[in-house]
Amino acid sequence: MESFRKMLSFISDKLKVVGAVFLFGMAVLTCLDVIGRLFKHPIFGSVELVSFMGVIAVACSLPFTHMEGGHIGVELVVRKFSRKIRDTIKLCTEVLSLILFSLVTWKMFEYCIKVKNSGELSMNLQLPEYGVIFLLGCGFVILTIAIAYSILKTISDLSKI
Amino acid sequence: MSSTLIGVIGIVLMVGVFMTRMPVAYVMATVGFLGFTVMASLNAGLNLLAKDFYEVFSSYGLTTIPLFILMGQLAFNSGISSKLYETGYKFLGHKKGGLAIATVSACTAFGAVCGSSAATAATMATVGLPEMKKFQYGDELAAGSVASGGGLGMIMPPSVVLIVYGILTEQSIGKLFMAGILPALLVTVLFIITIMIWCHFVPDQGPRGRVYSWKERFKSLGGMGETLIVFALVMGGLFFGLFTPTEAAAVGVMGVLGVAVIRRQISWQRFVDALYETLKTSCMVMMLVAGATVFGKFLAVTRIPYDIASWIGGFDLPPILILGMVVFVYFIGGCFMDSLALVMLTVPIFFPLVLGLGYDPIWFGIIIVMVTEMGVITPPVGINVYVVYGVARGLPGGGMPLESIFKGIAPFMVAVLVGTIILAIFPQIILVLPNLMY
Repeated sequence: MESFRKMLSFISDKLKVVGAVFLFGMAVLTCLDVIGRLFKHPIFGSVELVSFMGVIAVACSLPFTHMEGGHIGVELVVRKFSRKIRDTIKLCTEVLSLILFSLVTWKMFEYCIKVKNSGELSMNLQLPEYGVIFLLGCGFVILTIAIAYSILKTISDLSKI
Repeated sequence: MSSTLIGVIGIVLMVGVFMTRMPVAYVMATVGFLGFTVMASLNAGLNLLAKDFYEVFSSYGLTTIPLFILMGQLAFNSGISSKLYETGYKFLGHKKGGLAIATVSACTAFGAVCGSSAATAATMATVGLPEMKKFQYGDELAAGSVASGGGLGMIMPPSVVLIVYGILTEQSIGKLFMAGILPALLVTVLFIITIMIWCHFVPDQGPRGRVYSWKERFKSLGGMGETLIVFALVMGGLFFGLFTPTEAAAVGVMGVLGVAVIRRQISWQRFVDALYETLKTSCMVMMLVAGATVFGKFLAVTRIPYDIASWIGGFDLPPILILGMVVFVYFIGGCFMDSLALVMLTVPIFFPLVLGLGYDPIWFGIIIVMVTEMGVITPPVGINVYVVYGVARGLPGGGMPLESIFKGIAPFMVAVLVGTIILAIFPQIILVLPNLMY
């Protein structure tokens, strides 16, 4: 369990760095495009590149946002329950999340294959869009693993009560 | 089973699952997927999941969100807020309740570079609370002004809620931003009047601070210059149609970063922190948008929004009364839910109704932001209250009871309500700037 946690944290931390680079890259590229436009030399395909960078930045931040509890939820009712009931509810919602994101991951890879087989390329730069979809799918794989880890942790917490 | 009934079951199921503390984004995606599967087929539901998530994440329009969040985070991490507060403090601190007025004014100025209400409240609580404690301000006024002032960050453009509203309803984000400026200033003035009246009747809440010479006051104005320049660049570019919202946000990021680097106000570590925090918040928002998109598709096939619009329309009530009911729903919802999640959930339902009543979509966007602003400070969820509570606990001299903060917020709530009524009666205040745009 501990080595699983360490491995997950390691991957999530590295992805965070990659996400940060792409996030800042979006700002730099857009600014260079604006400046280039002033001198009548905009960066060709910058809109596409920024969109792709955005996908990669979000894909990289999926696991750590989940692990750090970055998503908003309504705590109002749950916090009134005992720890055991709270953890049991948490376990149920985590299993539901695991099913949801397993399906999203599966369909994302299928969508990736579909786009690849169709030979679809991005409009301006003719980049293979399926590559970006594949990276997003990988982000969802790590997120699904992170949810699976949360489930194991909640079960272990429940067994201690 | 009729499609409307399936839709109603979906909404009830979703509200029920919300109560389990499952992330709102996950709940909307799950219920949306299940509902779509029931309405169409399993295959259609599964395909919807993958396609909607990818399309939301790769939407160029939505790249505005992470960039504006980054701009706010850089402003937060580079201490620009302290400079803004210092200016307000030197000009107004010697008056009764002057520090609270300075805080509210600084919140508006900080809101001009930051799109999040909670971030504005956290920033201003860190800067303003210690000063107000030092001058023995009452906990109620000190915390109330910071928590409510934080809400101004949401109205004053750039605003994440407005961006999301613009994308969901296909309205111009530039026009929505322009529309937010005058209402934000109106609420600021109403907050200042509230503080003055409060301190007039209860002078102990806001004793006078130190008097600064005019020379010192004017010198402090230099600290505001860079914020004004960045704000003018971003909003000016949008106003004159020079930039798209994404470009304006990127220029804002570089502007704030440039100012912070030149003034040596940001370390490498804080820069990295700003990037990581932005990633986390952006991921949360993008997942919310993706979840809301899946759920919205389900709602659309059930035709619930249109059914509600025609059902309410059938009562033949005056539009202002129907609008009042919608606003009331937002107000109650805001007490229990995060403002962004509330907007995502309700806009697809109410937007067709409000359009059908003949109201301007830009005007409605600002009204929603005003009402959800009340939500961020109302119990029991009021996120800004918990932000201020958390910051106060970490300050020297200890924290303050939650009750004091909630008590302190009440007069400001009245001010926001008055502001909303003024904007409902005089829609020109909202529409004058967007109508002047290119």
